Amino acid sequence: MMSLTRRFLPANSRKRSYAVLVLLIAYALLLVLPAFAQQDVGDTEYRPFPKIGSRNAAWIAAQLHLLFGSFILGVPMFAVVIEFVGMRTKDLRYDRMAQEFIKLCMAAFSTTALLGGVLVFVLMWCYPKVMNKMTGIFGPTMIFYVFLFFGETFTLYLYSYAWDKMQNRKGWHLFLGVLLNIFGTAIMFVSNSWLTYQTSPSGIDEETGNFIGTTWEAVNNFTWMPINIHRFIGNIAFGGSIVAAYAAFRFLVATSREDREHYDWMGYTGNFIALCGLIPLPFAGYWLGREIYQFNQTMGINMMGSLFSWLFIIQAVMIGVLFIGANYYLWSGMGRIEGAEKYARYRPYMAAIIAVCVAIWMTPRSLIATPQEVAAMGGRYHPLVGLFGLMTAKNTVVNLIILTTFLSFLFYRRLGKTPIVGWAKIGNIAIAIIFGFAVIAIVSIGVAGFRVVTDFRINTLTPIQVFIALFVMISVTIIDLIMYRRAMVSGTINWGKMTDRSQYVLILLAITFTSLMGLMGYARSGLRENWHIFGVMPDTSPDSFTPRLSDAVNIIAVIMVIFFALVGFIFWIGLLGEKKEGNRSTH
Amino acid sequence: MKRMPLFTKCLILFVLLWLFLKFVIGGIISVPLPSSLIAMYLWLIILAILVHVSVEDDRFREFLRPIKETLADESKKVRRTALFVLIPLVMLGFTFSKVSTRADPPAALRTAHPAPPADLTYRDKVIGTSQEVENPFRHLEKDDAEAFRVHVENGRRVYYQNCFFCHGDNLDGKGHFAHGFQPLPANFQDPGIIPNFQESFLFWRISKGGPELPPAATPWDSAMPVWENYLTEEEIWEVILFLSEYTGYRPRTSGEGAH
Amino acid sequence: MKTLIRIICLVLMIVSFIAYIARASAFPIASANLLPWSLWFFLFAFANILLWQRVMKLLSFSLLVIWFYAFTASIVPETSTAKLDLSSIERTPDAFVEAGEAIFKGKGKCLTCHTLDPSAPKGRCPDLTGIGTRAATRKPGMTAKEYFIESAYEPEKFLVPGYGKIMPPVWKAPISLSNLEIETVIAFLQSQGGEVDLTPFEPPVDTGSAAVGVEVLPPILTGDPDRGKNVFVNGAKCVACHNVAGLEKPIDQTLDEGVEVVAAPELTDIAALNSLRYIEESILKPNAEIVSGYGSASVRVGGAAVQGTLVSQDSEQMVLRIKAPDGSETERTILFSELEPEPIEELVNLKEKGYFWVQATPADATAPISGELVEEDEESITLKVGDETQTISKSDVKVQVTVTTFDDDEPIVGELVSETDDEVILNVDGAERTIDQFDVDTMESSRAFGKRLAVTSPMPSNFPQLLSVADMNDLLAFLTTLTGEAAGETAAAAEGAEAAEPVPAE
Repeated sequence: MMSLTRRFLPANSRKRSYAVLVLLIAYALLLVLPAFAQQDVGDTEYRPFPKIGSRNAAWIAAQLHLLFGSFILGVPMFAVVIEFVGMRTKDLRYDRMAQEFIKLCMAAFSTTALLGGVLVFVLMWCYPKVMNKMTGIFGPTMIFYVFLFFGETFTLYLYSYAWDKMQNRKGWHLFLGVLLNIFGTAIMFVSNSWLTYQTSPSGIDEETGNFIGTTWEAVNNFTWMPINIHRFIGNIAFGGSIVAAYAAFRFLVATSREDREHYDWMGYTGNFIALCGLIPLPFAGYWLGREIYQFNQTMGINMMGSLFSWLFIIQAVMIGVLFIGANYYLWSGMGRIEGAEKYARYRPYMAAIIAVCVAIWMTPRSLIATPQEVAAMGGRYHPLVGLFGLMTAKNTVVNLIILTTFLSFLFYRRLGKTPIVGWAKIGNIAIAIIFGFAVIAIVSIGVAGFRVVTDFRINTLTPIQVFIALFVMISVTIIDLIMYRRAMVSGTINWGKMTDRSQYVLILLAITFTSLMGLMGYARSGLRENWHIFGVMPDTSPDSFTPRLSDAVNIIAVIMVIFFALVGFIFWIGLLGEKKEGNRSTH
Repeated sequence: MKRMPLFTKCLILFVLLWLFLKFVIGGIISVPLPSSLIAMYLWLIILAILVHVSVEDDRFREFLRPIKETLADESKKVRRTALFVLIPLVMLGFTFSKVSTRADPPAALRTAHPAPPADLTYRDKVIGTSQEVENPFRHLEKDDAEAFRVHVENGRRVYYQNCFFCHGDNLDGKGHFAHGFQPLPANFQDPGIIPNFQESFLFWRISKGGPELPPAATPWDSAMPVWENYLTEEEIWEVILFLSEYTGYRPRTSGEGAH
Repeated sequence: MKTLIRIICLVLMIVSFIAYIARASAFPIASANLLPWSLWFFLFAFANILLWQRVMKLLSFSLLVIWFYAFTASIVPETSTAKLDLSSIERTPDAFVEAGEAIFKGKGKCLTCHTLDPSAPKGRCPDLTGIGTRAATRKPGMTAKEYFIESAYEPEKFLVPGYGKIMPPVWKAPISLSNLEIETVIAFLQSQGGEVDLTPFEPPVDTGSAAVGVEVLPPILTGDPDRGKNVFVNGAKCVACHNVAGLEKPIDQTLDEGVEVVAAPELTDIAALNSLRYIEESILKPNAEIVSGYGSASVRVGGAAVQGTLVSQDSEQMVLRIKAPDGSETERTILFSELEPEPIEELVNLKEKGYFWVQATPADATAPISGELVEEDEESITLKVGDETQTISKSDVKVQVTVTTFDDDEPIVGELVSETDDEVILNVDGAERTIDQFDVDTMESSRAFGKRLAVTSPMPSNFPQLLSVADMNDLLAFLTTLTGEAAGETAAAAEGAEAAEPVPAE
């Protein structure tokens, strides 16, 4: 197999052969370990992991593998789209950026495989009985998974190394990219089936608790599709935000003007894609939550109201940071375009609206209060501010935040252009009216939501709010597109004219996004409480408890540090490789 | 007249907003806010102000000017010295307040919505799953208004014989004994209580009381008695009907997407 | 120089980050509190952001963001389903106090009733601020530790004035603290202003017998035993007659006038001996079932009423224990033949009223018929006269009337002929006599005469009306707790209140 890879790949560097070696070890682990797990494990249910404990070991390995997995799945999606855009616009910048990212992806790929191997090893070692049961049910999919992994590896290598050679056959190259993404997505779907089965097992005999279904039944369980969709969209956003963070890093260390221009533009594009992924993400999340509720109400309530409810307040803080950060970046970006003063005067108001909305969004239902404060409030819930904790208030402000962000984006788009159509003024008035009515409608529906029956609110009012927000975004975009189709360019975009602070915001967004993934991954996994497979296989190990939130977030913080250290290292390697190439080309 | 520096303006805005939260919302309009919430809002205000001043380079420079002057300008020596004395003192006070042993209980948090067990039981008898069990008298509301009224009246009787001591004669959680409880009794007039829960959930909370709260929902101390020891199954369903009839809030019927 | 400062700052930042994540004790003041390290980290991260350019600045910033989210989570009060594992706890004051605090605020559910804040509104149980110092002064002769041990295992032994007996023994279900857990809680309470003393102790009660974690479903009882006890002692004053081990009888003066102190059955273990149904009936209908030897009999002998406790009886005679006004008791044997017939007003439930011999005059007879009461139904009575039985219809019985008027001193005795609003017509020895109702002073009518031995409970028969429903429920609840098991403890408590040393439970 070594020779096979050698023949395929130009063996031009020692580094690369290391990567191949790592991959091979990972494959070997993947192939051998399931067989190992099939062996009779006897009565050994658990083996302790030294120092940090089995759960933490598996947690760290799994989350790191997942983050890298997201990276190598999200970035190729990004790259193919960008390459396509580059092909259509004939703008070489896009092509350069896409290729740069696939190179990074290559470096991340072997790390992902290695982490996957480590994860499998940790699971096999620490949880032999669980893994025995899981491989018993999912054996066929694991073999399938290994083949998909091969497919993914070879397509990625081909896609990357054939980039320059296939410049003239862009269509075929794009096809390779699409194939790569199909393999990647399929890999994710397969592995999703394992973990969703743990949360919401299907094909179980109610009496005995034994698995009696087919493999497909186990795969196609209650939460499988929602997680697939949620992760698919999440990967797009994650890929975008990592690209933006990389661009920010390169922008900050850049010495030449060209580099600054390029990386400013790259950061902007990455952030734009991240935002595009971010906006539908809550809806996919809502669907997932709904499915969890329907699968098991206890689980649903534990998630949103009970055991994990405070985790969602941390999530609210993170989402607040994401939206404030995204707007900040857009507002900063106005600095690169001449004539931005026109819209600058609206900014304090928009900042205030977002701040108020985020404040409401973050206000918990049951407040942290000392006994005296509770007595002063006359109850656990504050009569005025306590209402902000209810879902109707939160839905309202989220729609307002999204609309405000959309407005920021609209302003950004309009900068440097002057419409020449005659009805420009009427158009602007129409847009203003649409916004005004939408805000009034959303707020009044939100207020009405306090007094109506909950079912009516969930099934009717909340969707109406979402539709109003969507309607505004679509109709205003259409009006705006027509209005500015042949607009007069009145100011140019000075790429590279960007504050350093805005680049730090991009990094903040990437870290926040990653932390959010870590946090939500913990919630999804923790929801099982003391079950390996919910309702079927109880967890009797010493770790079968839900840790304190601060302990959990501490572990996530450790994961974040390791992840960004590894990613930083990969970026740095990319930087080194570039320098070497740069040196070579000057010789 | 000299123009007011941007930094001072922001400081004044911050103080004004703080006063607004503390005394206008927490005094004139409504009852005082817990300090944890005020702290959260204040951090958000600081963040919003920083966002506003730092988006443009010019404005950010102007904002930072007084700070830089204080740190470097010879003429601002008094201010600087005061600052250098004050900062360690504030830090000392902060550390002291965090490290010193205090007798008062920490700010507590209560889970808004503990998760019910999968099966709803009355005295060990399984009624059905928490998700699906409905109030057996609820359908009478449409089918037989007369019988429905009888059940509501029964619920009223049960309420005033058992519940009102703590939950109050107006169902607002201000009963005679309410002041003695550490988590105050639930206020059913709050729009966040009844509409957020299914009737099966209310049944579970009433029948099992404080002692049978799940460990996952802690800290959730509750002095609520285990009412299934005192009330019949029908009485518990009837009192739920009464709660919803009296307050005008309808319990939800589906368990999806609660927060 | 500048580079050196930068590097030191960088190292310190990383060290403080690790210390924060690893939950190291605070520096420089050692404490379990996390915040000081967070403060150090924040300062160093800020310093690094200012001092460095480019890469290290970026690194510091990233670390600050990661830390920020971890810190946000740490200020939220903690929730964990981890069971506190005390198996490997070190016997140090710090470890015990920490574990004890967790149990005090968590599993022990102490804060449901107690407070730790002198300014909080008065709770159901005493505020425990500074209890470490106060404990030693609560009960004379008891050290703080001894007091804590007693309060945890036998909370009812000493009640802080102003507070009721509501604290459950925490070693019993549903709280079910283990001995070790109670030790840690005591250590925590001692740390509230006092010295932590970790000397091991033997629990004063046998906690092994507690069905840990198993809660026995009690019967549906709406009453509160503690209030019931109050009803038992002060409200209905049951304790004046009934003995319950551990409950002191009040001194006679405290009793209301007219309450007669008589012997009544011992109730110490009533709940163990009888069903709830029986206890309920005994309260609602005191005469339904009378414990042998406790019935009160009242008979007429030689023109006088004699009252006493029925000691024994056979077909010929009975023995009564009679209490003289000076308190001395004598036993008297009374033959049934000695008893005087009493007039019977209504011929209803004769047997239940204790009549065993009846004399009545049927309407068609001239002489009264008398004999042993054999049978009685709604319409008639059957008497055994000599060797044969005779049945008399109840509606057919001549009514004897004794009328006293304002004019005559002698009462007029005769059979009632008719009675209207205006006048009463009597047949006196064959002659009819009309008396104006206006003149009638008293009028007694009887349908028959009878001898009876009425055995009733000395408990007032209207007892149910004396108590409110709530009191009754409470009383019932209290009585069901009298299984005799707690008697030892309560007895000890009663004695312990006088003697300084607690008396160990039996």
